[in-house]
Amino acid sequence: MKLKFKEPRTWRYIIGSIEKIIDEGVFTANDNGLHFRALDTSRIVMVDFIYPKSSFDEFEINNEESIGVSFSVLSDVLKRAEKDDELELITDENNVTLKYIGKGERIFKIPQLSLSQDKLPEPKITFTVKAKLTNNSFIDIINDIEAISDSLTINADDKENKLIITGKGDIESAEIELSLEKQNIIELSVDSPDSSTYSIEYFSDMLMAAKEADLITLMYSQDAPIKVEMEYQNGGKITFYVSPRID
Amino acid sequence: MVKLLGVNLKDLIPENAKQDIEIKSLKGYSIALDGYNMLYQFLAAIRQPDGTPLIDSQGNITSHISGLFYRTINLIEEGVKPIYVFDGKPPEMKKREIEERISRRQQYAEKYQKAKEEGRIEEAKKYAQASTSLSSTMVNDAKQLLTYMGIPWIQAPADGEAQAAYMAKKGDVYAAGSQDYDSLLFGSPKLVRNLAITGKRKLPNKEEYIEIKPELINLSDMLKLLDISREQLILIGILLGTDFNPDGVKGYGPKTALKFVKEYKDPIKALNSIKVDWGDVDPIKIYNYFLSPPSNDNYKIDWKEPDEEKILDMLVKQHDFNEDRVKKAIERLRKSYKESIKTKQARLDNWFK
Repeated sequence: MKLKFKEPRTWRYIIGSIEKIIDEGVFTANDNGLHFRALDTSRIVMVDFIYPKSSFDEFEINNEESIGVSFSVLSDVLKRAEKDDELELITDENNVTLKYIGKGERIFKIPQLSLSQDKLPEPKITFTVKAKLTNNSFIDIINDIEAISDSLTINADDKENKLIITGKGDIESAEIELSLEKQNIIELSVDSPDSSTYSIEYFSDMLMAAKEADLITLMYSQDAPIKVEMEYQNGGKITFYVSPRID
Repeated sequence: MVKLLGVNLKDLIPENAKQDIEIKSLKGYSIALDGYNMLYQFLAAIRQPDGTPLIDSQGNITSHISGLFYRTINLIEEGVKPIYVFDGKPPEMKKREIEERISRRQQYAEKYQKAKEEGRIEEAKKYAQASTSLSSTMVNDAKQLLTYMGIPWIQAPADGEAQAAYMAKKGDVYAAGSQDYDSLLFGSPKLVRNLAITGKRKLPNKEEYIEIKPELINLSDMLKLLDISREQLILIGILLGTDFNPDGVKGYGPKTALKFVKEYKDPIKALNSIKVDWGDVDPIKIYNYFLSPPSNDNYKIDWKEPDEEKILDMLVKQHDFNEDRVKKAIERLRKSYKESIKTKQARLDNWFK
């Protein structure tokens, strides 16, 4: 397999987030592109990631191929990406070779892991609330809530068409209102005034991937998992499902 | 009171039936911990280089409550929901082994004193660990401390591991937690080992440390991979040696025992075919004990907010623990209780159905 990336830095941030949630996993490369889906060990978060064929400069595979990697090792190498570097990824039986082509060539080799992979279905959820926001709004919200609380609660108001995000610490609390009028949200549809609470730590883990994301879509319903979808300019997409906390 | 060693299935368990896990992967799961086994490990491990355990100003040993207090808080901080299960009356059949073990412990205790007096530090520590025994006062200390910490503990009618296995089978807890493998014979669907002490552990007689991670063993995977039933597994246990017949049956190791049980469909017939002198043990009785040990439904699993005042009184006032350290630990306990015990974290599995 030989893949050539346009934007290795986007990769670096995406893998930087995945690394915090999942230790190791298997990418599958086929005609659709490069795909990865896995649960964290506590089965609270699912990460689904797709880089379509069109977001690569070169995409050479034999039918379907898989790459098993340790995300922390991959992340260590991706951190070495510099601005304007091109990244080439070549696999053989035992290794994954990452070649940065910029000022000269730098080659890193990491071992391929032989891992078994469970085929995971998509969680079955009927979402009642859907909101689209910029990556910066998302990052601000998470940073605000994280500062004082270990959980994040989203309430949807279907009458006034707004979202209220709250966090509660021992003595302090935070409340952020998102609405089209306040211009901190791009799209919002609320079918039902649902509320759900999630552990903040998984959102903090997403912040790296959010850095380079173009648009972020949040979808949830009452006491159901939240789906956080991040789209990238080059066509890549990473989706996180986080199970709720039920008090 | 003496904790026995349990059956040794280490070499029998297929690689694919066990996995080293990160403790965080147990987040949100309740685990029935073998109380005696945990205390025993704390007592053996929490010692000075010459083998002297932690003691307070009155000369009372405190290694067990120190380990229990700090380790339990670490587990809760990782999101694990611990429940301690304590042994009740040992069954009559175990008496002989218990008596033998007590006399062996006394011998080690004497060797420990001698080694210590003569300044043979390393040997002293080894003997001290081998002579470790739990008194009923220590067990009561532990139960008292757990109550103050708001951690549920359960009194088993007989074997704590049997009760823990029963609770796991019923689905009231996710797994049994013990260093011993007996829970598997008792039918616990999952066993987690290495929960008392994780991180670095010193190799015996060496200046080397190895990283110890919790190990999760899955009973149904194990039985499937070995292609045996639980009944046959019990039989293997008896051949290798259990607390009731510590020496096992001469001539059987993991491989030969496995081969032998596969030749018989009926475990009782298999037992009857072994022509050895069982002495005063009855193998059929042992078999039946493992198959359906005494256990009860008389328990409540309920975590509570820690009682700071009572913990401080017990640990700091009565046993001279460092007040600052204890207070900090209580704060961690309170925080984790709120974050991971009081609130219920759902898993995605609920939405895969």
